[in-house]
Amino acid sequence: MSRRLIIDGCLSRPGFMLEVQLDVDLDHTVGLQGATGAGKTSLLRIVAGLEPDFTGYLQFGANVWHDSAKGISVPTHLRKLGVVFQDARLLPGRTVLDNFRFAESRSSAPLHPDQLARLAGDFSVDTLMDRSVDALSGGERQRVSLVQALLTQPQLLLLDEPFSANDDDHRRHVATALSDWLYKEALPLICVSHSAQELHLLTRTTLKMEAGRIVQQGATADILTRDSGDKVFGAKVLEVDQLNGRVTFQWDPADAEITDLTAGDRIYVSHQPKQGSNLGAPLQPQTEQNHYEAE
Amino acid sequence: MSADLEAIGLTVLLAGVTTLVLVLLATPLAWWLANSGSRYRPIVESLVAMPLILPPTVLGFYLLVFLNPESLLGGIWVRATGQSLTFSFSGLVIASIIYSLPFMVQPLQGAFRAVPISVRESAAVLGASPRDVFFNVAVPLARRGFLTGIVLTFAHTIGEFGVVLMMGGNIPGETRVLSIAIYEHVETLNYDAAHVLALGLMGFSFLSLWLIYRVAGRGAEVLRG
Repeated sequence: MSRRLIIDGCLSRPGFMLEVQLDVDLDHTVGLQGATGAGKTSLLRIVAGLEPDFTGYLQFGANVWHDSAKGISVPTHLRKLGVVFQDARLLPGRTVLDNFRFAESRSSAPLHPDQLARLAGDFSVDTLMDRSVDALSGGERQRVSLVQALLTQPQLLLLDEPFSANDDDHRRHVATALSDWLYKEALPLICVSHSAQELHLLTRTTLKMEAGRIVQQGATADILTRDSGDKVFGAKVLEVDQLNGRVTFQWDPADAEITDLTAGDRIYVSHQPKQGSNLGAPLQPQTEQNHYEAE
Repeated sequence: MSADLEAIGLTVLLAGVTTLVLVLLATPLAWWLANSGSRYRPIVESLVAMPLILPPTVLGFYLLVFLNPESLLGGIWVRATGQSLTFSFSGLVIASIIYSLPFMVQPLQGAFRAVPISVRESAAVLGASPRDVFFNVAVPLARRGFLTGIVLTFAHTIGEFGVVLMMGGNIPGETRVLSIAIYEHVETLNYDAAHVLALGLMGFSFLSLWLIYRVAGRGAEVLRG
């Protein structure tokens, strides 16, 4: 099943013009980066079919979602999406559980009976079930919204700064849980984030936007490195101690610029999959992508 | 007294039928008004609001002109049902629907407009069709608007006078509603009977408005202008 996303079109508003030519393979999760106002959210909304003024062509996999020339526009509710907006919109005046039920009953495929319980546990919303969504904190709303999106069994997940209102601990926890789900469900993702850490953890490809255009497209590690001055090292795993959660690396000699590392520093580890081990999954096993203390 | 009871019964029936028909008619109209970017929207809005400012006599006069058995519409009705639309209960229902239209449409329009577009978008991305969004997201969120519209329409129809007098007259059991009965009592200097009905209407009006302000709370802003 192909998961190519092809966009060729534009969206113009007073004072803003979005022009996108994009062809990206969503077998690899995709990050979207750029300054505020660069058009990241608009791009997600175009993919979701929420921008009626978009003109051009949009295709995901085998499905043409929008083709202005032929007058095709598949309405949002038929695109089988999971979307978490930046402001984590929920259905007001209802409990968290009611919001989940609303999503469940519109799921694109039958749900496993334990699905809700598992998602709720993984994303730490299981204690919120009977609360009114109007009484949730920003971080809680975002997690509820994410679970709600996953409950519809989407074909494609679109996230717009999905963890921004969570504190650091929750962010790490939720991002890790999400990356596990993406892997398990082989679920394609486009994620807008300002956080290099989240992009590293969740995405393989990153698109960088500036002033309504995509100006860079490449491996997340490369794009972020170019951006932030982060250093990328190749390393060989020497020893994996599952029991204590310790991994010992050997830096590749040519890249051995490790003088500024000291014990106790935090580093990101991005795991490059072995050839042929991909099996169509968008991400490799996530254990290697978590953060380890530098040994 | 039994004539007054008959008038009360007739009035409640008229208000009930009118309210029911208006819920069905005004809901799609209000939804369209709340969402349409059409340039015809202000025109439709103005037409809907006209009964608010027109003297009921004007409304009654034109209804009399256009619905009498010699007119085109009135003639069709007579041929179809064998009944006249003027000086009949059916005619009063039509008149009341037009007369009370803004009292149902405006609270609903306000309530629908208050359903954030963002909420509708999130329902859509969860897989809800526009119809699904309307019935299962917008209508529940607009329930205060429905309550306000229903109570206002019902109460307003109960108190209808001028339009009825113009095109319904004073036929017991057919068009003799409460306000007409009061008018007649006063004309015949039967103040005691007028007091009973008038006080009853006062109490009813107060209770209706109290219900709206109490239950609907902020939903009743329409009433405050």
